[in-house]
Amino acid sequence: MIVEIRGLTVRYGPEGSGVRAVDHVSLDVDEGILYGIVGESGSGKSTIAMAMMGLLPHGASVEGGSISIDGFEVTGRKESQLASFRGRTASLVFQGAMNNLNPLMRIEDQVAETLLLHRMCGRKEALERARRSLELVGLGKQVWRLYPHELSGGMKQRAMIAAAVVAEPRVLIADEPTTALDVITQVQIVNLLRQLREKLGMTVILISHDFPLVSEASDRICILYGGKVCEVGSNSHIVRKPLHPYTAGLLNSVVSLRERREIMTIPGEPVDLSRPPKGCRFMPRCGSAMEKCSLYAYDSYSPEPGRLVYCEMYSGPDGNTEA
Amino acid sequence: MEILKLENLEKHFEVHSRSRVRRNLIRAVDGVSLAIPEGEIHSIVGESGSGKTTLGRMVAGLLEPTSGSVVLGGVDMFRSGRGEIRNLRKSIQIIFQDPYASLNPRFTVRQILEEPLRLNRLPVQEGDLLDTLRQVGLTPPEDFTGRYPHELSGGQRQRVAIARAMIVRPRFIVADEPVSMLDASMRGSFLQLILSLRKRDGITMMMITHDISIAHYVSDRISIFYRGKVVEQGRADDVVLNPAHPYTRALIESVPSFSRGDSEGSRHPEVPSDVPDPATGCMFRNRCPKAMVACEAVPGATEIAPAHFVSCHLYGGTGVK
Repeated sequence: MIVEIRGLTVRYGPEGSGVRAVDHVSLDVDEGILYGIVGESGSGKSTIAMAMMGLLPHGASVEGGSISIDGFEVTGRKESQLASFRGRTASLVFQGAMNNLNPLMRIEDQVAETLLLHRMCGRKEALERARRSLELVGLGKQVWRLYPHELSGGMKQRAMIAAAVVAEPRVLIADEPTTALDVITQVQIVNLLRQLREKLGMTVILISHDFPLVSEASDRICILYGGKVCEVGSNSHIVRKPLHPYTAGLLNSVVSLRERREIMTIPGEPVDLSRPPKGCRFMPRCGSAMEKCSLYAYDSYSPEPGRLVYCEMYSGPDGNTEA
Repeated sequence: MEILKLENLEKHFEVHSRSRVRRNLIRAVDGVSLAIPEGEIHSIVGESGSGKTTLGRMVAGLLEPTSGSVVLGGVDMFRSGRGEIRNLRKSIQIIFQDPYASLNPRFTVRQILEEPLRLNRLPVQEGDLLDTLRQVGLTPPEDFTGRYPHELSGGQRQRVAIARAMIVRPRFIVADEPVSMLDASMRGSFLQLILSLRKRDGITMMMITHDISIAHYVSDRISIFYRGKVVEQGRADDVVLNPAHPYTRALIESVPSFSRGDSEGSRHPEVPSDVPDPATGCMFRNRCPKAMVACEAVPGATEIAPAHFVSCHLYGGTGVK
């Protein structure tokens, strides 16, 4: 297990009030896989990504739980301890990252910067490794010495990924890496993430609101709703036989180009995190809600091997509660 | 009878380059002709930078074209008298992409709906106002009239934006990426709302979107837009199920889907995305897997099946339309 998140709770705002954007989330990611996290706005997916890097914005704090990445405990660390972890153990490619390139620096220098900041090697070697990394993400010689404004959106995103992987981190976290890119470019970025996993044995965590996109790339998928995990399982299990009613609803609400069918909508409004319902957060929108759902304490059940679901429907005799 | 007719519509922007002497001309919309009959939903599908929003802004009368004409209900939008244009404004409404930015945060829902009526000197009738809210699924309407935009979810805001467009009983609506800011679970009900309004009130709509799946779901006809030009146009099913232009094909192949899941081997689209545009000829030819010598000339539109047009030399492309 290269990433182990246990009972992570992140709060925005002061203690006692504010909003719990992530609430007792536990995740396990095996080494070398592509792990997809699917969630809509307000699900807590970006907050989890930032917490994993120790990069929570001002005003957000880890209220409880732990995050271990390659044996390194991220929570409660000082900035100085995190500096050597970022980039080398884990890297993050942000949402809209292509706009985070320094407009005054050549592409190859920006990629080399990570190595120089970590004092991992001298200038000459850094540049050499930067170029190798750029080549790896599909950016050839003619791009190395260009400035960001001379690149297309897709090329900039590739350059950001090159910068993220140049120090060969064990884990690459990509938060909405394809949002704002054109469909044709999206596929290419997703293929690139898969190649990084295959060529470098890197563990990749792909976070997106785009369920079909995540399912095209991932080995395992975790579905989030309102700061809570709904279910975790292999890609094909989740897509073919969803257990959680929210997952099923999400699958049915996707407009498919290949099969023309009625799209179903999940009724109701997204959960208001400042006033979350008692018990299961999805209950007010759930077609299978029962009385006991309002008392649900978010126990996880494993009705099938390799799967976890957080739903009272599976609390029967065959679903065995996990600790 | 067609409500909207675009004839050879063009919008060029001048961009000053570093040399100051040379000026670059961006042909954002480059010779678009199309007609939308009454009661149809016509989608313009294109990537960012294809010029689709510029087209929408011209159709809504917010941007003057460089040349060509926009004729709405028989009236030329940019070459008629002021009185006629004022009348025209009543019959055309626009729904913007971002429901967080397009509603005045200091207006209540009631004020938001009353404003277009006042501007067009139409009477404000309480029953109408409540009915419109009901039609867009904001029920009971009395619960919403006093609310401010920040008290609404993204899906509810976009419904208010539709209600604002509907309340003046327009003949034509331009919707620019109306669902791209909505979560998947909210998107479906919004699209169904559009379909039901069309069915009941027979509204005519031009929808601008980057998402061909959504275009397929709601529209009667689709125009595929690339670098300011329509490269393929036809009935939604024809374009999606029998795509002819290499760009349309690449677009459709790139749409992620569950059926291909299981991460069973990556797909390699034949179309590179990081190549510069050619200066002349077919704008897609530098990316096109089927490019040939003929592509150095601009292809004309060919009707490959009834009402299915393609602008590509593979299909004879020199034909006239």
